Amino acid sequence: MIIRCLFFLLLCSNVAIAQKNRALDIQLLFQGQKLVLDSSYWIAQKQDSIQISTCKFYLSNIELLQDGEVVFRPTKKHFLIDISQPNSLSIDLSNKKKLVFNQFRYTLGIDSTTQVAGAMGKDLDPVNGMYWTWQSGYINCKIEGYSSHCTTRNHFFQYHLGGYQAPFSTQKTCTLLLNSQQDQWILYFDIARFLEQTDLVRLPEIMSPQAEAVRLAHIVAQLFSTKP
Amino acid sequence: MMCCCMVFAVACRTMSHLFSPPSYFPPPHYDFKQNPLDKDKVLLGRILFYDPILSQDNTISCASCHSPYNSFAHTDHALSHGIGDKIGTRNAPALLNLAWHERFMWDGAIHHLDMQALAPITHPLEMAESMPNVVKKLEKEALYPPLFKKAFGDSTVTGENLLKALAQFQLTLVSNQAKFDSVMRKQSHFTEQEQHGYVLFDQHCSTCHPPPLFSTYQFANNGLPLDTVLKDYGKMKITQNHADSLLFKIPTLRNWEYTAPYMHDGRFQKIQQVLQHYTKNIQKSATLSKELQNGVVLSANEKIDLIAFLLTLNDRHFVFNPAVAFPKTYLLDKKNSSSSNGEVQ
Ligand code: HEC
Ligand code: HEC
Repeated sequence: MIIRCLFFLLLCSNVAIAQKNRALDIQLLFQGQKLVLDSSYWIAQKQDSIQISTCKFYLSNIELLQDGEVVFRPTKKHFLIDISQPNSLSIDLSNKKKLVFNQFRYTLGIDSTTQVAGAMGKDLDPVNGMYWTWQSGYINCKIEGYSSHCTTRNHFFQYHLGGYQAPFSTQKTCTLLLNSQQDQWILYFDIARFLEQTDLVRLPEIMSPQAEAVRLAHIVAQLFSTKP
Repeated sequence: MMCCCMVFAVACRTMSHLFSPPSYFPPPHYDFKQNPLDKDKVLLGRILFYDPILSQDNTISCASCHSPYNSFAHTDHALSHGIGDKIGTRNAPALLNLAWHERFMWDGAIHHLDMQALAPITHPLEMAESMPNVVKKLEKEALYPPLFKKAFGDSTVTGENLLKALAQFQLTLVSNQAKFDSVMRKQSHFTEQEQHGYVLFDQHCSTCHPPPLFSTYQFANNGLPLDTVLKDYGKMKITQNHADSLLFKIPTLRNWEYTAPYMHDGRFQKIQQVLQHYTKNIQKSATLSKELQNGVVLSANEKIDLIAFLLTLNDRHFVFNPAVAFPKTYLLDKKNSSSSNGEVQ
């Protein structure tokens, strides 16, 4: 009996040692400060007052790599990141092995195979408001808010960036450097730097696959950084 | 191994009971592996299809625009008629043999049957609802959580399961009991007139409307002049490619007699007007399909014979099939019926 107990304890401690908790947190910024939804920001360069009301996007096909070789992939393929849902702002990368890696790869958006696979649940459920209704396809990134420069109703701007078929494929894969000595990282995305590249006066609404959606989605993907 | 075989056999049995196209149909396009048909899911889908709860003010169901007696199209309405008497911009197509369609809507905007229902549910002129709100309403209605539980093993209503159930019911809408089908099964013969009509059909119509489905489900410009009020350019709206200007999805001709009016905007009331179009009024344009460049030549008698053949495509059995009709026991009195598990009528 005692031996069995000992054995059990040993087993437990082994698992505890082997289990490595790793997580990637996502932090949204505005001009380097933590973004607060629905609060006003001033962009001096454009003399514009801005509020962000929605910021949601898909991070997919996450991989940890060592010099270009994949060493780890979480089983979950698509993560819906939504600033209004704190639970969504951390991606679990835990696994049982000790890993050595120096890169992190991610795709902004949903790949074309998943796009045409029919109704899906959880992060991919159309209830999340990230699926177009009048035509098929996921919205890969949704950024909405108010700008004093917008001549739209209530000065509202809406960027629904999506499209998965050529020539308007908005998905974009990027790689960042990541240090495997740590087990907690932060991925920053500064919305002010995205807005600098948009034309809120001329094109305050994008709601369908088009060239400008492709340009902006690629900008979003490349703005993620491990430094604030 | 043995167990595996048995599971497979049972799965095949339920599936074949719900979906058994005749041997002369091509393989379906829908990937049933992703959403295998199951009688409880089909039943849930059927109830949802007929329940106005999917619309914002609980007045419009899918069946409001897709009535079984019109082969699941909308009669009397050239353009669809939705919430608050609002009029849409297109004619509601018949719903049948949907497992063979590659894309949906007249312009092909939708690429998967599962995702189609999102369009009418959220369209401001149709059901004007939002998906999160539909889910909330269904969870509160006593009828639904047990039906979701029975169908999906979970009483929580999700968008995924709602869409899958609606797709399952619609996949069972298979029309294969027309006179044409009994001739294919060698249980009946065409009359001489029908046979002559078939020859004409084969000559003039079958590149786009080929048997046995009577559509390729591809897109074509069949020479209809642009309606200058609606300004509907069809597939080009989706692809933004000029080569797709005025291309519309080719509709099936099965059950045409139940689905008047015709074409994407319901511009023709009668089949004679359709034939008049193909023989006299084809409008030339850059994208007009090559089969119709020289129009169709048919004498008055040939038109009569062609129509005689077309009449063999009507499937009365499909239109009056009680298995796909309004599920009275569930919907007539929702409060009482949530506890009932009697046979559906
Ligand atoms: C207000 C009328 C209306 C309602 C309500 C409605 N539909 Fe439709 N339906 C239409 C119209 C009009 C079209 C064609 C739309 C287009 O081409 O843009 C259509 C198209 C479709 C198609 C595509 C058929 C094809 O051959 O491409 C399917 C499937 C369908 N509807 C199913 C449904 C379901 C399921 C519901 C309920 C959730 C529903 N409809 C509710 C009017 C309606
Ligand atoms: C080049 C391809 C093509 C050929 C050939 C063709 N059609 Fe069509 N047909 C179409 C298309 C596309 C539509 C839908 C057009 C629209 O609504 O804009 C259509 C629509 C119809 C409809 C209306 C069905 C409905 O439910 O609204 C009928 C009936 C029809 N065709 C009959 C015929 C007959 C009979 C012939 C032969 C004389 C024929 N077609 C030849 C492409 C074709």
